Amino acid sequence: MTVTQRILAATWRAGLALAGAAAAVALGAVVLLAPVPDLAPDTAGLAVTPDRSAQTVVCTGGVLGLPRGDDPQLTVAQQPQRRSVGTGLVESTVPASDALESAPVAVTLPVDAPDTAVAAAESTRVATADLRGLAAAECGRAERTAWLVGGSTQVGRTTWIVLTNPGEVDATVDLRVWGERGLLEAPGTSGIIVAAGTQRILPLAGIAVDEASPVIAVDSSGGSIAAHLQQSVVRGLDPSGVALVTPLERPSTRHVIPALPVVGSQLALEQATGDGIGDALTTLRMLVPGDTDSDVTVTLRPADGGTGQVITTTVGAGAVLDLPLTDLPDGDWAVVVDATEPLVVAGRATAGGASGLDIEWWVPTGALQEGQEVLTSVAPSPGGVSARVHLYAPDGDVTATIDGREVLVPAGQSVVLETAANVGVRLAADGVLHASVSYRGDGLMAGTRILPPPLAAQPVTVYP
Amino acid sequence: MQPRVTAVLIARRGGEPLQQTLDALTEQSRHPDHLVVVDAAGDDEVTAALASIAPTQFVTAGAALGFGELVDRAVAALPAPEQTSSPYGGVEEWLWLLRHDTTPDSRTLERLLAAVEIAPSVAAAGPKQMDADHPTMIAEFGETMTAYGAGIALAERELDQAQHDRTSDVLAVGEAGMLVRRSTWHDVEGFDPALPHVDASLDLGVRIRLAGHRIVVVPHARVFVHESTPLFARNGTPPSLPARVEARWRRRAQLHRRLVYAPLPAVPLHWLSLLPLALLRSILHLLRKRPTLVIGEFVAALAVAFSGTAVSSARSRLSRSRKVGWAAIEPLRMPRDEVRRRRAIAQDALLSAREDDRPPRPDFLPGGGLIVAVLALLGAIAASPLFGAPALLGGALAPLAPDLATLWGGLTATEDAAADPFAFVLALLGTLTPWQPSLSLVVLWIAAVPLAGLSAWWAAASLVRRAGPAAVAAWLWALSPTLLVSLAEGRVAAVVAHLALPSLVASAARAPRSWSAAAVAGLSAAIVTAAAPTLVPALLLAWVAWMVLHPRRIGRLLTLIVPAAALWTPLVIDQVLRGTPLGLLADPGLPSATGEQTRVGLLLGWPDLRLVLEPLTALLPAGTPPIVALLVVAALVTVLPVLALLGLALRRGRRGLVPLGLAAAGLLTALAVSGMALVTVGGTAVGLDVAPALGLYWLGLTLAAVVGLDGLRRGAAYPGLLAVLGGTAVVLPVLGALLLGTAAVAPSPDRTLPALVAAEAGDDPAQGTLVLTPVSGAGDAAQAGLAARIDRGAGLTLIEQRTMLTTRSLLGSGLPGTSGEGDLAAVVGSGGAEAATLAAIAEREQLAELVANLAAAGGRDVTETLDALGVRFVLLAPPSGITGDDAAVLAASSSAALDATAQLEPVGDTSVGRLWRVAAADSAADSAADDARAGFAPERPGAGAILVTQLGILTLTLLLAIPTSLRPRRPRSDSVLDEPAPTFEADDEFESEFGADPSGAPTGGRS
Repeated sequence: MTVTQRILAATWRAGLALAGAAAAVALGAVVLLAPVPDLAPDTAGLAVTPDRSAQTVVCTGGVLGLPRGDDPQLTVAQQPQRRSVGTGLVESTVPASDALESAPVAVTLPVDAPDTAVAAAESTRVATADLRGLAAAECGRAERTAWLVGGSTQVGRTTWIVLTNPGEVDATVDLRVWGERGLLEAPGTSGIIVAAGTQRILPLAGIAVDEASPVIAVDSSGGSIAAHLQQSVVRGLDPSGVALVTPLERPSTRHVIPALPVVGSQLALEQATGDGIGDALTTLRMLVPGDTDSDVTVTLRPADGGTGQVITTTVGAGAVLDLPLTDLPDGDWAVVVDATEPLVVAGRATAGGASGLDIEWWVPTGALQEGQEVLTSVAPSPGGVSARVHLYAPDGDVTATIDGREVLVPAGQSVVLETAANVGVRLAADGVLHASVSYRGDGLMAGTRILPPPLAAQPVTVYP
Repeated sequence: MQPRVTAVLIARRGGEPLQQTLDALTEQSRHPDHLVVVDAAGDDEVTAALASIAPTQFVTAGAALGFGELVDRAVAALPAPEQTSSPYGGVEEWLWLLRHDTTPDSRTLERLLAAVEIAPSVAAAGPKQMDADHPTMIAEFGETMTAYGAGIALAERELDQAQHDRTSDVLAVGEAGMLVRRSTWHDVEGFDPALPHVDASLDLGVRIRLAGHRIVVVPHARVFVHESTPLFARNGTPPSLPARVEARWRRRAQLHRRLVYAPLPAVPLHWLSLLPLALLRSILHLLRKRPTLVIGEFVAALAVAFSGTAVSSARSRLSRSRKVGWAAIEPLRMPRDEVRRRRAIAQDALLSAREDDRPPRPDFLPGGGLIVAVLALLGAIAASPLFGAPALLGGALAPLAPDLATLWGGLTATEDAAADPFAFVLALLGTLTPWQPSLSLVVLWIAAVPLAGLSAWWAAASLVRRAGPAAVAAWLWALSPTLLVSLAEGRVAAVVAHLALPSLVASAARAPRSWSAAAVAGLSAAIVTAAAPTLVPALLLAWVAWMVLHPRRIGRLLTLIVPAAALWTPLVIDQVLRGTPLGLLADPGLPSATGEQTRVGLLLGWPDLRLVLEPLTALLPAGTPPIVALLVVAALVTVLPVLALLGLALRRGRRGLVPLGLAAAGLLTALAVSGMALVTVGGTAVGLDVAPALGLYWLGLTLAAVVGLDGLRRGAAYPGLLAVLGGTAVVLPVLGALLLGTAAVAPSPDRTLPALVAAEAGDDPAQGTLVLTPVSGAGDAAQAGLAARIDRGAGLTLIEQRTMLTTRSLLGSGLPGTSGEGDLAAVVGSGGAEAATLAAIAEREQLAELVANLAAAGGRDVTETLDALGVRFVLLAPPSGITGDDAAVLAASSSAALDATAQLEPVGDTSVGRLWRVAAADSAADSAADDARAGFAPERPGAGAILVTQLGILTLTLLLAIPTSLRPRRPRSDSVLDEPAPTFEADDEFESEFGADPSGAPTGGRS
């Protein structure tokens, strides 16, 4: 091998290495900078709307009482009168109940029924030695959560928790009960089995002893529950009112009670002073179930368009506050509660009359949205009791249509209309509207809510 | 008696041998009395040359005739033998058979005649055939048969040292220069026309012996042969004879003679044994690395089996002339011991030839063994959290299969999907632990690091000459980021590809020289492509390039694709017919989302750079810019590319070119697939795994770097140490993650569903479990939803995963390479694609409707759908991965809705989610079980036959791959004594670099 050949070979190798290095740099640049196609298949899932299910509302049944005797059994003291509306509905009795003669009714609108809405309401006029007054409640859907704001277990006050499972699946219910001093610890509040097609009735006094301001949260797993409270009051020896408390679905930062009728309040206060328990005052009961205190603004609006009242207060977290509404003159009031934290609220009013007293818990209603039409039922009312529809538009002027009749509801005012009892009413609105029905007679007071229609089934996104 | 000799000269072609033969004929000390020439060349020059010696008879014949028939023509042209009544005895006529290429010695005829004259019992005599090219070598001297009837030469290709000169009586002599008595020739009716190529003279000899005559060899009569007997039978100038053709001829001749010589009752048995024997011998051929002979084996068997009257006429010819029993043959057969001895000698010769051919390689022991042992220890420590686990979960991992039957059952094509090629790899893997197939994955995880080291050692050893660089390659590959990330993230296919890649590279490098290596390369390619479909384009390119570089071995290299093709064909057909050929690239195994690939990560060889950057950032002081961590990682591995490029500038550096080419192909493949996703899981597109492509990149880089180290010789110690330390340091975070159990891969029971479901699956393996997983969804229109799938039996298994099913999201997706353009309209009318798309959409919709009605309170009675799908359980898994609040809300609402469904009985919370059991309606219980069984996709008709074919091809390749010959002894290449002298090496290098080496194989291989 000559020197020339050696040099040639070395040059060749060096050139090769240099070319390799250049190629490597170029490759690196390509990897760092070159655009590559982005290929990806469509990842969207299938949005499937579940089939519309049969709509069922549950009517809790008559007014409960313990008959006098050696071995008192919880019994229905007075069967209710019920009005169900909706074409093609089917009424069925929930077969089992803790109370004798109790016949809670599930009103079902099958999927193939001609109508799309169903509603029912019932009312009970009771007058026995222990019970007196008018109780009414709209029949509501069974839900997984319910907040029952109302009741009392002080002397002379009896409160029953009524849990009705109209479905086909057993429900396991957990109760949480708050009182003035916070969450109450009590045995037997969790794991309550409500078998399918049964009604369980529990005395609140077993959980909260001598509690003036209970609030009960009902959580069910498995099946859904229609939960109610029934409160009856005996002042001294006089039965002084019954009320049915319907559930709120969840805590919220805004609640609207379209009707808080104050009727004969002076009379009531006078008659109620006897037993030393000051629960005849019109009162708002509030609970913030969270961990943070809430600032609350309560706006009271009279039906006649007069100036209302605004109350601001602070509700401590986890303890029930009964806010007395002193100086509230008689009239039909609409109440708006705005809070910084989600809370639950209900208003209690005691109606006084010549023949006695009656109490009623007024629970906030959901808002009827623009364009929605709702079917509601005005419960049958016994003689001497008239029914009124209360409409309240908190945000703006709303034209409501009641059975084809147009009614203007000015913003921030409530409108009260006389209505026939024992009818079905179709109510539509072109704005946000809250509505309820009140029934009043001499010393009798009850109310039912007009609830917004159930939400249309939401589509579920599935990635199969 | 006066002998009269008729020389018969058969000429197929002219040229120098013919001329020599003609000259030799004229120079005979005893001239033949007659000369008959047969001109079978059809060439004027040959005719002229033949005519120039003035033959007695001139016969022209067609070139297609065999030697025996040509001789028959010549004999027919002779006048009839003279009948004489002379009291001194008649004239004894002899035939002297010559070919154009057999040049007799000047005294050959004289000596042959002398031998036959003194022994009247001798009917034929043969000269000693010498090799014309090496006149001192015996080409052939006498023929005989083995115990099994195979023809064999008594002496063949031996240096003539008079060692055979005392041989006299033989069974037969070769046709070249044979002297045979004409009357005997007529008595035995000449050559058998059914033996046109080989063994004709052996058959003739047998018949002459059986006719009661003797045959002798005459050592002092010599004939120089230019061509062998089978070569003579070929046409063309010069004739060529592939080994496979000669082997076919010999086998055919042997089988024909077997049927002819056998006693009549044994003939049917022999006939029946023809094909089975061919099969057995084919397997033997494969084991002995002679796959080219396989076809000839069957052709020969079939040709003999259906040869018409050839056998019967040969049998009657034999029986007409036979006078003595077969015992006359026996002493002349070659004893078995002798046959065995000869075979051993041939084997030795082959072995020593191979030793000379072999490039120097470093010894595995002790250095390589030590490295692998250390790696085994390291791998065992890193995988110690997995010890004792019956199966693994995480990433693409799942239990392999509940039992062996299911494992192998997973290979058959079902109605809607062919099995993945990777299923074959899994089946093989699972068979290693037949009592619990899933355990094999645990073993694989523990043994992956040392196995990778072993594999890389093998690949590097064929490139380098010293043990040190090979050890560096083994270490770097076993601890490469791609392997460890794949182990940590449970990318099982990438791990398998990682182990098989070096053996593919190493065996493909040797494939042009060895059938065994070609078979190993074929199997490795099948494994690599099955595990890493994304590598297929790069490997195809490399394959074509390799064939271009070795055009002479193209036949052998073409076979590399056979095992891979056997595995892939059903899937390719299915995907193409369905209109989703792009789906072929989809990774096998459980689809699992991988981390986002960064371009820098690709360049640094990391499929998931987070695994190293996150621990590193934690180590660095807070506030360090992220680029610093990146630079640290880069700095630790910079030595590899530097060494690889430096290697090119060193002597013998050209060996680094192919690895560098592979590295570039790997990197570009990784780049191309980094943006591709073909599969969606729960609303998230799962990107293709770049780990195998990066593995190819890293392997090429490592091999090129060790070539550079090898070139540095004594100076390699420090750079080598630097590479090892840097490469080890950079992967420490991943090793740590494996050891601490923070990696995605984790031990699991041998099922993915709750124990209750698994227990019930024991009775009904087809029972379905609807598994719902709340997910947040991905992309712009992220929509929380439920990922739904139906698992059969005890849960997901790897063997039941099919890319045909996972890539159904491609149907109508509008991606290039799929037939849909975004909506169904595009696939309407396109045959299989339309049907498949419609079926897939219908199935998706059915499942979606079921899920929506279960997960939200709906009015539908789902009992029927649940029954139809064979669903017996519903499992609501916890929200997967990083999911938002809406997924948690959805989980809660779904749970409530499922609770409220009357058809479902809550079972309770399990380790994998909340479980419900489908309440079986009493009357429907039996039919539900039947329907559940129908829930399994039925087997496709003919799937069994396809599977058997596939397994057959694999088995044959495996037979070919099994090393059966002794490993050649190798000189120690790292000893100083064996180093070639520098002057010669320089020459060698100069030559090889300037292209004098035709093979161009940088591996140092000489084809």
